[in-house]
Amino acid sequence: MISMTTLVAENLGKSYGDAVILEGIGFQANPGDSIAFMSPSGSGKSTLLSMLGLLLTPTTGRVVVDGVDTSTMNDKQLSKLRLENVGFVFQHTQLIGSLRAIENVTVPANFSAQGAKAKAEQAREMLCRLGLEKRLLHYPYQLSVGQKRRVALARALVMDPPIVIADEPTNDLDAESRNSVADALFDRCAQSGILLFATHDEELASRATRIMRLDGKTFKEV
Amino acid sequence: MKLFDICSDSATVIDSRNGKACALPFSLSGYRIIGVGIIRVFPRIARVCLRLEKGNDLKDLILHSLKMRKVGTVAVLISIALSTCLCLALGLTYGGVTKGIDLSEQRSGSDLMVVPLSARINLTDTTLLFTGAPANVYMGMDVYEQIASMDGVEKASPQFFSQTLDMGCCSVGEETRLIGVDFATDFVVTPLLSQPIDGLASNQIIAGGNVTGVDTGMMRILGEEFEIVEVLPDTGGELDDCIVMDIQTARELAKKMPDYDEIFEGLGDPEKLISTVVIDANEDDPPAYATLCSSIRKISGIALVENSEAIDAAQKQLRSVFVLLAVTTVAMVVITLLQLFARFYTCVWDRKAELALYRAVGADAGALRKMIGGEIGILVLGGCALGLVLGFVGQGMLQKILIESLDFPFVAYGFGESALLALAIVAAFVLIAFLAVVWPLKQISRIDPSLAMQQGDID
Repeated sequence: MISMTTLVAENLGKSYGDAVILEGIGFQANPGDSIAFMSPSGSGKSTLLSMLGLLLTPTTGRVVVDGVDTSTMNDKQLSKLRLENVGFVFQHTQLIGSLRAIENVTVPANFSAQGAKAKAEQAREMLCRLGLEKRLLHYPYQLSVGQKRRVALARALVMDPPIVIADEPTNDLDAESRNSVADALFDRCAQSGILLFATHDEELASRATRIMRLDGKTFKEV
Repeated sequence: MKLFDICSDSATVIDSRNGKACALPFSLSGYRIIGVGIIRVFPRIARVCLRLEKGNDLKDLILHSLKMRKVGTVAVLISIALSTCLCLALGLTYGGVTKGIDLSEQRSGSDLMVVPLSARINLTDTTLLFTGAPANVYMGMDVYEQIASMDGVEKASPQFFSQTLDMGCCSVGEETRLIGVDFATDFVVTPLLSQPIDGLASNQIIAGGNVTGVDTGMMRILGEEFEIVEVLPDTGGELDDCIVMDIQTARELAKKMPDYDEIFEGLGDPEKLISTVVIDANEDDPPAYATLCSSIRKISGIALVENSEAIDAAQKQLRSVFVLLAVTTVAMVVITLLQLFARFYTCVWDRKAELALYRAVGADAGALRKMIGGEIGILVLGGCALGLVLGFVGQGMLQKILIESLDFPFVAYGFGESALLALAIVAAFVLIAFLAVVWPLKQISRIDPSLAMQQGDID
């Protein structure tokens, strides 16, 4: 069951020394929203997603989740917030090579009170829904790119986070895998979740409720 | 069997079948108790390590990490086990020998010992002190009379070595020495008795702590039956392997031995012979003590063994052996420390992508530190548990070799002392492990969770 959460970005910006990467980004994401961030490669999409996912501290501005200002939180609080509220689909899948598919899915649960075993059944069901019922015990090296992407997606969703952040989730995928991954992601929005994703894929972006494109050093809704 | 006294040198147990208390030798019961303790307690500690924080279940990830690095895990485990084993075996052996020397010093009862010169030529002071002079060499009773009248002698008592007994002639298990003691002047055996006695009848004996075949309360010696009046407590010295009887009875037994005619032919009637004079002197007045020693040395045909000199010689022998072993052990411990450091230092950096992923999916830095801490906890406790088991076994073998090849008396550590030493070693290794990983653990706090957005797949 997904809880209803809002996410507000206020004047977000990131600089490294004198180099300003992003500035003045502001928007509010409500339950059911899916926002596609579109920009050329290397222009700061991953940086923005890192800030929205509370992985990276913004140089300016703040992220407010459910009315709580995350800029005042310590590492432990931020980690807990991430664990309970944010699921990530990374660009490079980031599966652990020595863990089986189902074990990779339950990795976040190891850091929760429930434990990995409590989530094993849910992980199995999720992988089956994504068409990986015969790959549960396979290691990442035994999976295709599309299958790995689906395992990574299951990992992002296993804790039932209200916010899912995906960095180029359909990159390098064939049409069938792309649709399967996209369907699973947008299904979260239908269940009142928030989906924030970066993509070059116009077709995928068109399925989002909102699209934000890079304009100078900021993203603006189009 | 219920244990109710585990702190003495021997463990006392109650047999549930008949309700009787019995003492088991520590080597059997104590080691078994420690073994069972290790097997039962360590897994529990390991389980606690795996659930270091409420709200985390890091067990799977910790075990996965250990399994993933099998070769390294086994190497570190063996290294810790060997170091622990060496530390324990060395500690128990050193402690046993040191205690043995101390105990014999305390319980030898005499400050000085006078033996015939030929005994001194054939045997070292250490042997004389710790094992006596088990040879049929005698001196006249007049030696005792001269010494007893000297200034500075508080007590003096003659003893008569009769012979070494074995299973061929007597109902003893191991080789045992038969010694005659003059109970009118004795101050060595008498204080060890549970009740004071005036003397022993001609059919009575007292058995040393190590003498076997004493269960029936009777013993057959050279064809005669003797009543065992008492079994002495362990002293760690020669007395443990002796049967004590009245000096007159010992002389009469010696006279009856056909082979002894030759010995006594030149020396005269055994009634007037003695083999040792034990002396209690006043050591608080060094000049007077030195004068006494000098006076005794002037008596012809005798040799003087000073207790303190012999102890020093024994300790020197002991030190040279243990210094070598201690250096080896320290080297092993340092190697273990470096190995742990190398493993966990490189481990943190090699696993940066994996750890960053954990951070990204919700692990705080503390959880990662506990994960690494859990890994090292399992390695250290597992290695220590293995090492302690090996150490107790190894110590038994080392003890046997030492007892067979050296003159040192040996008094094994009791259960309490052994357990304390084992705990101290485990604590030391936990500390070493902590020192080895303190830096790598610090590095974990610096791992940036946003790395997860940039890294490729994790092997």
